[in-house]
Amino acid sequence: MFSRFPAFDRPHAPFDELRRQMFRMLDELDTAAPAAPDGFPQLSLADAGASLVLEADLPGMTEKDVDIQLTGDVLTLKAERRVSAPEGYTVHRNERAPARLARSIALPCKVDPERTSATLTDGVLTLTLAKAAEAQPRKISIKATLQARFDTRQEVRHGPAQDKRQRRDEGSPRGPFATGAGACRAAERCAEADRGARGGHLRGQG
Amino acid sequence: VAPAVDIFEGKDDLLLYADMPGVRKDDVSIHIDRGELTIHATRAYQQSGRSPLTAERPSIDYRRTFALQGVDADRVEAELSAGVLKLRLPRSSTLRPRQIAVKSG
Repeated sequence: MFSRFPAFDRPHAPFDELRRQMFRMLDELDTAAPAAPDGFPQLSLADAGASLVLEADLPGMTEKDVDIQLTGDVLTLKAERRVSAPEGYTVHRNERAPARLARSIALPCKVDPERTSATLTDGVLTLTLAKAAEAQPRKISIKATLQARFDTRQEVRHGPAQDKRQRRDEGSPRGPFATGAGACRAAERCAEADRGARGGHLRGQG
Repeated sequence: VAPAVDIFEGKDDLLLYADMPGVRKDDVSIHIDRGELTIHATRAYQQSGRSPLTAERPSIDYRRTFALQGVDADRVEAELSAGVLKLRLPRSSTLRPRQIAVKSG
C-alpha cells in the first residue's frame, strides 16, 4: 500500500539504476579477462632454480582438452575448449567462447624431457620442467687466496659504519665485494646468466 | 577485472558461469543485496622462490555485478570447478508463468 511512494527507506534508490548502468558500461569495456595477443590464455614462466615452472590459465578445461609437446627447447601448448548451452536452456549471454588455441614458447634453457610433470587444478595448468644436466645450476668456487685477500682488505679498511654496508652488500651479487656465496648464487641463475652471473664473476676475480 | 560470463536461461532457473582460473573456493564471495548480485574473487600470484621470466598472469581481482530480477535469493546455489564458478539462480515462484484454470460456473 506504500508502493505509491518512492521507497522512503531508500532515498538514493533512483540513483541505483543510474549507478548500475554506469557500472555495466564499464564492465562491457573490460569484459574479457586479459589474454595474450593471439588469444591464448595467460602464461607465466618462472625459474625455480633446478626447474622451470610454467603456469597457464585454462578455465573449464580438463586433462583431455590439453595437449603439451616439447621439441628441443620449444614448448607447444594446445588446448581446446568446448562450451555449449546445457540441455533445455537458452543462451542469454555468451562471453566464454569455444576456442581452439595453440601457443609455442622458446624455453630459456634446455630441459630434461623425461622429468617433466603437469597438473591441472582450479583451471590452472602447472608444468614443471626439470632443467637438463648441462643447464643445472653449478657452484663455482672462488680460490681461497682471493677470498683471503678480500677478508684482509675488509678488516683493514672498514670501521663499524662501513661494516654495516658490507653486510648489506653480501646479499647481492652486484655488491662491490661479492663473497663466494653471492657469486655462486648469481651463477645459479640459468636464465639470467647474461646479467647476474657475469657481474658476479668479474667482481669475484677482480 | 570482470570475468567472462555465460548466462543461460531455463524455465525454472538461470545458470551463470564465470571463468575464474586459479581461484580457490575460500577466495570467492557472492553477495545478493537489493536486487544486485556481486561476485568477487581474488587470485594471488605466488612467486616465492622463483624468479619470473614472463609474468602475464598477475594477481587478479575478479569482480562483476549483475542486476537480478525475479530470482529467489534464498535458493541460489554456487559451485566452483576447474576454475569456473557456476551459479544456479532459481526464478522466484511468484514470477514463474502460471496457468490459471478457468472454472465453469
